[in-house]
Amino acid sequence: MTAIPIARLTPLAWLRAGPLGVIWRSPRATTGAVIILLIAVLALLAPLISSYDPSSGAFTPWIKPGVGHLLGTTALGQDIFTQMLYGARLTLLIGIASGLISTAIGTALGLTAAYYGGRTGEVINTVTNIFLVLPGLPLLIIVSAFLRGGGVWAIILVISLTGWAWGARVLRSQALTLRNRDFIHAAVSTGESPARIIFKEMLPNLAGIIAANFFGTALYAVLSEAALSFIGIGDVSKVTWGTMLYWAQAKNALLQGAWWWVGAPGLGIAVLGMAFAFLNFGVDEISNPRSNHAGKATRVLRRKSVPKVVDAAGLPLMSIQHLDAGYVTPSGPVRAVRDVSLDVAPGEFLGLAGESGCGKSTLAFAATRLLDAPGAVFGGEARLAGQDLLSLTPEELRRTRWKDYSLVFQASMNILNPVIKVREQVYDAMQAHGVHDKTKLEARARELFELVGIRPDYLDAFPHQLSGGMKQRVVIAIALALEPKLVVMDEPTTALDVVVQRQILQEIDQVRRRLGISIIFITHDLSLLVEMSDRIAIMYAGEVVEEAPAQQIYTAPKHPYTQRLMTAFPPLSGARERREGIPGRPPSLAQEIVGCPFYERCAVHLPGTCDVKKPANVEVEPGHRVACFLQSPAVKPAVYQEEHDLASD
Amino acid sequence: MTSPATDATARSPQATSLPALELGGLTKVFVVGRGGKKVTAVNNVSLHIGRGEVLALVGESGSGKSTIARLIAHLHEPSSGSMKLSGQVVPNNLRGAALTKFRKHVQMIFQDPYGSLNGLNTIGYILSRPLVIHGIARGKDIPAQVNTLLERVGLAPGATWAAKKPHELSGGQRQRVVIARALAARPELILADEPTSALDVSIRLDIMNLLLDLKDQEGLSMLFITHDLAGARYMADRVSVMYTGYIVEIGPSDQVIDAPQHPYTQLLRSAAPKPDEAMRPERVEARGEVPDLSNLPPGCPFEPRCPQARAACREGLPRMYDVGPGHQARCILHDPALAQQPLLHPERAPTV
Repeated sequence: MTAIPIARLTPLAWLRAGPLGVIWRSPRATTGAVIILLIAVLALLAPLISSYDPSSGAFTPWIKPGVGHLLGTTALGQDIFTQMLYGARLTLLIGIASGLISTAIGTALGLTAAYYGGRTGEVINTVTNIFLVLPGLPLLIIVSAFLRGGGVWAIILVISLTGWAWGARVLRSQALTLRNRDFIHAAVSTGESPARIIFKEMLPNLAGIIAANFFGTALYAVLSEAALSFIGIGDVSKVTWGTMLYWAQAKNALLQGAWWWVGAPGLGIAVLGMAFAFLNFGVDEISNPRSNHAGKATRVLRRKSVPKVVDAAGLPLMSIQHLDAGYVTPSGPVRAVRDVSLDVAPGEFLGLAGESGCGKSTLAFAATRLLDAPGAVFGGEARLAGQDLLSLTPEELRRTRWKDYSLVFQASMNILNPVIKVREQVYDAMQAHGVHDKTKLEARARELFELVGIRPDYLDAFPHQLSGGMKQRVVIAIALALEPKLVVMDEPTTALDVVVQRQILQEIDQVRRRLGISIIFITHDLSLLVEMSDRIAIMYAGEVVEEAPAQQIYTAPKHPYTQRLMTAFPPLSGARERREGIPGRPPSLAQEIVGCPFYERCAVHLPGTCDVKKPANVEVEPGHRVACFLQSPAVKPAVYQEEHDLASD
Repeated sequence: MTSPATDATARSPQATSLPALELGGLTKVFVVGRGGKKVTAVNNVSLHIGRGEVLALVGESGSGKSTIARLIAHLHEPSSGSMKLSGQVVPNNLRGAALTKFRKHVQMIFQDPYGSLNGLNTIGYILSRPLVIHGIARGKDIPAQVNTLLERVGLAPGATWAAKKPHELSGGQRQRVVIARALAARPELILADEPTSALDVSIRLDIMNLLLDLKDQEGLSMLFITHDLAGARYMADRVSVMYTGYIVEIGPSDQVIDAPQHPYTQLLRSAAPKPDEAMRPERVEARGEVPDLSNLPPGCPFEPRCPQARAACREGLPRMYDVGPGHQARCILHDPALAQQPLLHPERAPTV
C-alpha cells in the first residue's frame, strides 16, 4: 500500500530496538529473560538430554539424587530429572499460553473501554470490576472442577478467564490518558478508522505496559497451575511441575524423607515465577520511569572552595560569577549554563529572558542550589549577601532557603496539598523557621494574603476550592512569608490567563516596591518583561549575550539576537505589517560551541571572526553589556558596521 | 445517507460566493461528573467565515473557544444548532463514511506539536495517512506527495525529513509537520487551535507567516484560536471575542482590537503586555475571575466583574448591538436608553 521508506530491521536488531528491546535495558529483566530462555531450551531438548521416559516407572523407587539419577527417583520409580525436563514443557506452555490469552483479553477489553468510553466503557468496566473482586483461587477451583478432564487447554482456559481483569484495568487507565492526547485527536480528525487508531496509534504506545502485563499474568498462571495441580484438580496424568508436587504429596514424599521429590519441582516453580516477576518489574520500571532524586541539594562538582565574604556592605545582593552548570548524562555533560556572571542589586527587578532550552531556568535553579540530579554545578560562585550558596552544607542550605531567598515556579501551585487547609500550609514555612506563636502566625498569614490580593477568609479554604490564579497567589504569599531578600520566579504566571496574570504581576510589583525585595523573573515573554523589569538579561545557548536597563534594551538593543527578538512578536498597536521570526534553531548544548553561539542564525555575522573566537562580554555603555564583535571597537570594520546598521533598521 | 459537503458542490461556482463556514446557534452542553451537573461550554454561537478569510477566536481558558473548534471538526457532537460548510448543511450527528468525507474538508492544527504527533511513527507515515484515507494519492505517488507537502511547509528536501521521527525535530519543525498534515487532505477550512502558544517566541512569527502564506496560496479559510490579542490582530481579518461560551464582540480586527466596544474586550486589551509602557501604577479594573460555567449569572455573564455594570445587565443576556460596519458587541451600553442607568459599582469605574 504505502511506499514510505520505513527502516527494515533484521531479527537481531528488532530484538534490540523493537518493542522487546526494553528487556535488555534492565538488568533484572535481562536476568528473567535468560532464566526463561534457559528453561525453554532444556525443555525443548529434553529427549536429547535424557533418554528416559518421564512417565514409566522403570527404576527402583526412592533413589536419592546422585550419579545416574541426578535428582533421584519417585515412589513409582520415575526419574525426577527427566520429569523436570518434560514437566517444564507443559508448565511453560501453560504459563505462556495463559499469559498470552489473558493479556489479549485484557488488552482488547481495556482498549475498547478506553476508546469508546460511554456505555460500552461502563459495561466493560463493570464486568472487569466483578472479575477483580471475585476471589481468584476459589473461582479457579470451582471452574476447573467443572472442566475436569478437559486436559491442559482447559487449565489454560480457566487461568486465562480468571486472570485478565487486572490487566484490563491497568490498560484501560493508561489508554484513557492516551485517548486524550492530541495525536489521537489528530488521527480522528484526519479520518482514521477506530480499528486503525486502536491498533496502529494506541497499541504501540502501550507496548511496555502490555509486556509487563503479560509477564505478570504468566507468573500468575505458573503459580495457579501449581496450586490447582497440587490439590489434584489438574490433569494428574500429565507431567507438569505442579502434578509432580501432587504425586509427591499423594505418596507422602516428605514423610519418606524424599525431600528431592518435593524440592525439585518446588524450586523449579519458584525460579520460573521469579524470572517472570523480574521481567514484569524490569519492563514496568522502564515503561514508567520515576525520579527518586527529589529533595536533595544540588551536586556541586566544583574543585576549589570559596570563602565567605565577611563584609558584604556595598556588594550586590546576589552575585553570580562565572557559573557553569548543567546536566550529567550518559552521553556526557550538557553545559546548559556557560560562564554566566550576573548581579542583582537590592530591590532590583531583574528579568531573565530567552528561548526554551537556553539555560535560563537551569541558571536560576543552579544558583539557588535547587537543581535536581542529574543536574549539577560544574564551577563558579553564587553569592547571596556575600555568602556562597554553592559551599553550604545541606543543613545550612535548609536554614537559608525560604528565609533569605525563596522560589516560585510555573507548577508551584501544584505543591499545595489539596486535602490540607491553606492556613496550615502558609503556617508550615514559618513554623519550620521557628515562628510558633499562634497569634503571630495568624496575623502574618492575614497580612500576607492581603499583600497578594486574596481575602483572608480564604485561609480556611482547601486548595481545590481555589482557582489556578488564587493558588499561585497563595504560593507567592508563602514565598514572601519570611520576608526573604530575594525571590526567584520562573514563569510564575505562564499557565494563567492574561487578566489574572496582569493582576498578579501588579501585586508582585507593589509588594517588591513596598518590601524592597529583589526579584529574578524568568520568562520567554519578552514584551511582558520589558514592561515589568528594571534590568533585563538575554540568554542564548547558555550564555548571557546582552544585559541592560529594560527600556534601553527595548529601544536600542545591541546584540543581533536581541534585535531580532524585539521584533519577533506581533505588536498590539501601530501599523499591521509583516514581521519575521528568527530562522534556525539554537545549537545543541551537549557539544562545545566554538565562537559566537548565535553565529549560524545571525544575519550580520563576520566570517573568520565570529565563528572562530568567542566574543567577550563588554560594557559598551554604562550598565549595558553585550557579547558581540560588532560592538567591540577592536574588531569593528567599517563595512560590517554599515551592514549592521542596515539590518537593525 | 446523504453526504453533506461533497466534492462536487464544494467547489462549484455557486458555492464560491457562499461563506466557507456558517454556524447558527451552535450550543454544546457537557454533563460533568456523576451528579449530572450540566456545563454549557458553547452557548448559541452564530458566526461565519468567508472564503479565504481568517477569523480569530479570542478568549481566556474556559471561554469555549477550543470547544467550538472541536465541534466544527466533529470531535464532539453539538447539542444543538446548525452548521453549513460552503452552503451545505452538515448534520450534527455525522457517522461513518459521511463523517470521513466531511473530514477531508475541515482539518485541525493542534496547540502542542509535542503531543499531536505520534512519536513512534515516521514523519512520512504520519503525512501519508491523510493522503491514503482521502484517496488523494496511492502507491508510488505517496512518497512524492509527502515530499511536496514537506517542502511546501519549508522542510526541504522532503525525503530527508520524511524518514525522521518526531523526536528528531524541534518544536517549530514539528508544528510545520502538523500544518503539512492538515494541508494533506486539501481542506477548505483549517481550524488552528493556538498553533503557536507552545512554541518559542522566536519561532511563532514564522509559523504565523507560514499559515498566512498558505492561506493566500491555497485560498484557505481559517479559524485561528488564540488568547493573544496581538497575535489575533496579526493573523485575522475579523476577530470574535468569547466569554463563558458566548460571543461578546465580533468585528474587523483593527476595530475590535484597536477600539474595543465590549468592556471585556477592553479588559483583555488593558491586560495584554505592552512593552511601550512601563508598568502603570493603576490596577486593571476587573475584580474576580471567570464565573463557574455551571452557575452563570442570569444576565450578562461579565456583569459581576464589569466596572460599567448597570441594573439592566442583570435582567437578561444582552443582545448583540451593531456598533460599526460588521462590528457587534453584546453590551447594553450601546443601547442609548439603558446606558443612562446609574452604575452599579461606581467605585470600580475607571477615573478618566
